[in-house]
Amino acid sequence: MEYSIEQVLNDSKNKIGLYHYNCHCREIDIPTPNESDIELICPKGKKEWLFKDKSEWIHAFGHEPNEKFLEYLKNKVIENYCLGQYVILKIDNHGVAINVFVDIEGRGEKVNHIYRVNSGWMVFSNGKLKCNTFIGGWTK
Amino acid sequence: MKLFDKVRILVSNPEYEKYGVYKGMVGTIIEAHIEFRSFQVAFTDPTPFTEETMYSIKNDIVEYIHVKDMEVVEESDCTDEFIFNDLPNKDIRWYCKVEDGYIKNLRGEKLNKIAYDYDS
Repeated sequence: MEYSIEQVLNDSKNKIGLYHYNCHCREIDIPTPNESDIELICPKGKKEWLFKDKSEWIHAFGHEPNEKFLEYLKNKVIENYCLGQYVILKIDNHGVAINVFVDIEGRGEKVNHIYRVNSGWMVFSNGKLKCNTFIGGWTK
Repeated sequence: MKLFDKVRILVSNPEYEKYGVYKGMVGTIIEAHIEFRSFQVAFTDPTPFTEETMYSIKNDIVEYIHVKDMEVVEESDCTDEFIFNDLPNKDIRWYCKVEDGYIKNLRGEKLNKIAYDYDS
């Protein structure tokens, strides 16, 4: 059955939201994830890699490469993931790889600086994120 | 071949190249377990980090690379104990090393049937 453009425009006039002609769709709200629902899986090797490969970066931010900084970073990842501040990099048989955008606040001499970095994670079901790389580079 | 070893890519593969991984690049294995006969490898920009260069340093590339597509250039001193503690759920059945042509777990069990044929 074909519909004229005029008929479609007339019938869809004043309809709000997602709509297509002869639509039986329903809008369902997707609940915003709670930060408490998110579990970060951080293999020890990834932490070692962060402190080995990115210690100069961490010092440049005015922080120290230690557990305190790691906890700060993890909290930022959870916060921004729940706010949707990420992009999907790829989906393959290993899983869904995302880049979470993280703003690191400088400390000490760098207290007025914000450093925007990428943090790489794999998304799994039930709110689990597995670390690929804590700091992968700058957000461009 | 195991966690934290430095490895070199041996092949040109469009599946790697579309994510910026090319033959000859050197990276570091950053995950203890082998998944789909592949290690997770990180390739970082070798530019020295200074206040002047920091913003021009390229982002890391983290990809799963098949064990047959790379060779070890520098071994790490990572111990079996560290590797075990890094395995998912600390399950010793995870394959995590490549030795003498075989993909092995910490129990010495082999995944491939023919030495150096990592798909067997």
